[in-house]
Order: sequence, then structure tokens, then C-alpha cells
Amino acid sequence: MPPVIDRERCTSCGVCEDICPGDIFKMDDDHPEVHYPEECFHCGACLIDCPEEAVSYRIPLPMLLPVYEKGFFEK
Amino acid sequence: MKLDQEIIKVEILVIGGGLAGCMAAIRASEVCGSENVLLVEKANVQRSGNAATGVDHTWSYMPEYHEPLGFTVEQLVEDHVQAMGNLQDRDIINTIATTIKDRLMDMETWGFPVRTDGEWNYVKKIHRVPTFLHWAGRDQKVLFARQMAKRNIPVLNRVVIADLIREKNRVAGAVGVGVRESKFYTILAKSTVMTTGGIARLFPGPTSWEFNRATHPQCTGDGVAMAYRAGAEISGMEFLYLHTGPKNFHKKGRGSWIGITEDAHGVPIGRVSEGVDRKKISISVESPGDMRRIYEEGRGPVLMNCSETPDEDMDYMKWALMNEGNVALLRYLEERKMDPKKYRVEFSVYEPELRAGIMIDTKGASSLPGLFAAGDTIGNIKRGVSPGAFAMGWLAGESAADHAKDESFGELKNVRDAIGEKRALFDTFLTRETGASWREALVACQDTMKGYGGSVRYASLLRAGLAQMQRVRRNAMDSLKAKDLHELMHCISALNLMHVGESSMLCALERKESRKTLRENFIRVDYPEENREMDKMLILSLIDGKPFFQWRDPRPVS
Repeated sequence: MPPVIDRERCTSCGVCEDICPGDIFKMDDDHPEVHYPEECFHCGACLIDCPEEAVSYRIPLPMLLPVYEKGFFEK
Repeated sequence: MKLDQEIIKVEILVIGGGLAGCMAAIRASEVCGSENVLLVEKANVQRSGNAATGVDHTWSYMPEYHEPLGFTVEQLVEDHVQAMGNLQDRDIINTIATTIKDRLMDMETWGFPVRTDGEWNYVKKIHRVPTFLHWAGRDQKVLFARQMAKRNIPVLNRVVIADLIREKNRVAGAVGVGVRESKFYTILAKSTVMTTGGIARLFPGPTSWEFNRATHPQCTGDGVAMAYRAGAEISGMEFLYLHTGPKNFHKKGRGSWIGITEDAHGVPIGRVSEGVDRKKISISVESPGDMRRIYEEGRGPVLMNCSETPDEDMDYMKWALMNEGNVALLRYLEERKMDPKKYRVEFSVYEPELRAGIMIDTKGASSLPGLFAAGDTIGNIKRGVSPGAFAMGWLAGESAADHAKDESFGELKNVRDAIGEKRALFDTFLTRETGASWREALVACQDTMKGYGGSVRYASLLRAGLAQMQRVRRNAMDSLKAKDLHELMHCISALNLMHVGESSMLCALERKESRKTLRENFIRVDYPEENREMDKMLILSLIDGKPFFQWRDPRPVS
């Protein structure tokens, strides 16, 4: 669920937990954990501010963006 | 869990640390000293509010750029009225238009990149005149947080303000609860500035994924609801505003896209301009109504076609979207190799929002002594957005500081009962064994708005909706349960949205006509015609707990 923390890269600095506008992270034993994944609104704050670029998003299924190749509707 | 009590006394309390709140706190601190100001924010000032991860434009008037072009401030004011309708106070639009240049110059000295490569990068995009300053605004909240720290302005992050303290006829501060610390705060203040942003999540979203919203989903009309309960005048509540953007992946920033909106067969759906500078002027302009019509005519889906957009303009579009809070969307497209030049992106109309709220004068003062407001929390105009936040935030902070000079603190003994009731309510939410979750309360509120207070409205339906909303609120008060402080924050938002919805339906019932602007509509099935006699702003306030309506003409430029 969004966001996903890369444990290899994460140094547990706590920036993501500190700045998240949705308050979705909690520090568990000094490590950031995503406590409220369904409340993420993909504002990008943790992606931008993580100094280790350890955060990525897994976009939830209802948010899949419909895109169409040229000619799709002419088939 | 029960809440510990903390009492704070401060001259000026600023509620909400978005663009307007930061500006208000900065100006108030200049007038009366930073030690006399406290900004309270439910998230973290560094990345909070609707500009959390950026706004790429600021409508403004910069004489050195606009005068040589022959554009006047009057034209800018008129542009707003043309785009968003007559029912706006022109004196507020004019105040923003005439003071924003000073704010931008201030911000430049604070290190904000308001000029791009040394130039005032003004664009027209989807608007009528080139008054939108495009700039790298992604990190403006970070820069504001830095500026606040530099000035030693005290900030209380992760505290959600729940209600204003009303002492006799004035506002004497506010109460709130910690989102991370189990504390109930009573904050006595001589002046209170309300800057809690706009009203999102009053209606169900176009997808069932609750937090998938184009605007910041934590801006839940808290300030409007609090001011309404305290008896302040609010306005604009009956109108529903529509925005458009990528389907399913909901993000603001339609104006940043460079392409043509078209139907499934490649036929443009709006007005298309050819031979223009695409970075400065949107080549395709459509209204939410145009987009809906395409679906109804069997021509959907609506698509954004960037296939003819030159590479240089595509790069510019991505730069703009990155600065408009669309970092996640850009990354999604990149990771999935969905180049918008090769793939047409489906667009849709988003759920209704309210662009409404607290009525202020040109100095940011509300109708209640001691209460000031700015930014998206105000109801005088429809498109204040970032310049409204900068300009009116500054003035509201200044007025609040001036007001505090001649004001005394409230007496705790006069307001103890009201504060005690609130604290007991939150303690009950936190200690109840079983009960309704905040999600239940929110869904009940949103479903009520969708069923009774949405695009189809008439007297009997609105009366039913009001009764249902009051039923939902009463039952929520009696049954809400919060497992932790985070859930308590959501309970407070849900209850606030119920008051916002109630005030919206009350105003909709009072306005017995129908009228439309480009992005807003007001449809009463039982009064389908526009009534020129109602070409006035409808102002609602609670007097002795009962709704009181006033109709007044929009104020002219003073």
C-alpha cells in the first residue's frame, strides 16, 4: 500500500513521519511505518523530502489512470 | 485514554499554517513581536495546506510588467468577475490585486523563486488576461517554514483546533487537541486569525477511494464550521464548484497541461486556439459542462491529447505540473512509460466543492470582534487561492496585531462550561467501548449531501436533507468512537463537514432561483430561472442558534 519504504535505503531519520500532511506514518521502535495507507493522498511530500530517496508509491487500484494509444477508438 | 489539559495565553493565535496562516503570522510578528504570536497547525507547516507540495502560479499584478502592456488592475478585477460570476466582493479582489506585488517582492527577498530565470513569467493559460505568474512554487511551504523559524515565530504542529472560544460578543481564542500528544489545549488569545483552507470531502469523490481528491483532503472546512458555530457571517455556501483533471488519479492543475481536450473520436470539445505560445496560453479551453455533455452525447471518454505538443513544451508542462503538486502523477507516468505525448490521458469532472466561507472586510476582519480570516477560508471571492492567501493573510495578520493592542484577554471563568463540554465530548469519543467510526460519520455526511444537497435541489428535498444531516450529526455526537488521536482528528473533521453541509443546504433553500457561471452552478429545479432580484450575496449567520440570512450587493472597489 502507498507509500512503500525501501528498508535498505531508509536511515530512520523520521523526516517522512515529521512532515506528512496526512499523519499517515508512525515511528515504531524508531523506524517509520505506514500506519494509515488508505489515507495517503499522494501529495508527494515524502517522495520529495526523503533525503535517501527511500520512499516510493504503490498507486492503489482505484486510482489507475486510463490512457489510450493512438487509434484505440478506431479499432 | 483521556486528554491532559494545557492552557496557553497568547496575543495572536493563527489557526492553520498554510500560505495564508504563515503570511498572517509573519506580519503579526512584525507588528507586535514574534513572542506574542502562536501558529497552530494540524499537520506540519513544512508541508501543510493546499499548497503542501506546490502551486505553480500566482495571479497578480506587477506594474513593471503589466503597465507597458497596457493591462490595468481594473481589467484584472473584471477578469475575476467575468470568470467566476458577479457575486464576489470587488473590494477584496482589488485589495489582493493592488498589494500582491509587495508580497511577491517580500517573498523574493526571503529566497522564493518568484521570477524564473530573472523574468516575470506571466502566462494567460486558461484565463483571459496574462496575470498568472508561473513560477517554481513546489517548495514554497518549506521556504515559509524556514522564514517562520528564522523569525522565531512559535509553531504548534500536530494540534487540531476544534472550536473557537466565544466570550460574550467576541472571539477570545480557541480549543484544540493534539494529534500526537494526548492533550486538550485551551488557547486564550486577544485576536484569532482563521486560515484553515478550503472545503474538500463534503461530497463523495468520483472514485470510492476517500482520500483520492484533487485538492488537499485534510482541508475539511474546519475554519468555516468553527466560525459558523461561533456566529460569524459566512457566504457563498450554496454554490457548487467543479474542477476537472486526470480521471481516477485526481490532481489539481488542469491549466498546466499543454494539449487539446477531445472526445473519443478526436474532435475537440472546447475552444481551441491555434498559433499561440502554448507555454503561455492554453490551446484548449473547456468547461466542466462541456465535458459532461460529451459523455451524455455518447462521445466519451474525454481525452487530453498532447501528441502534437512539441518536446520543448512537454518539458515545460512537466516542470509546471511538478510545481503544481503533481509529483506523484509525473512519477507514475514515468515509471509506467506512459508518455502523455504517445498516450491520450483520460480526463474527468471531479466532485463538487464549495469555494465559500467567512466574510471579511478589506483588512481581513470578520463580523465577530477578535476573529480575522484569510486565504481559502473566506467567502467574499471565488478564486483567492495563493495570491489571496499571501495578500489577505498579510493584512489579516496586521489587523489582528493592531486589534490585540487595545484588547484584553478573555476570562476563563466566563467560558469554562463551554470548554469543559468540548473536552468531555472528546474524552468520551476516546474512551467509548464501542461506537461509530469517523468513516461512518463521514460517509453519512457525504451521502446526505449527494442525495439531498447536490446538483439536483428543490425545497422539499433540501428540507429532507437538512433533517437528515441534523439526524446524522446528533447520532454521531452520541456514538462516535476514536481509537486514537489520529482518529479523533478525523472525527472533528467529519463533524465540521456536517455543519458545512447544513449551512450549504440552508443557503440553497433560501436562494429561490437558478444561475450558472463557468465553473460553478446553482440549480433549483423548482426555480429554474435566474432571478435578477437575487443578484446579491447571501450571507448566513447563527443568532441564538438560529439561522439568520442577509442579502447584500457585492461591494464595489472601494
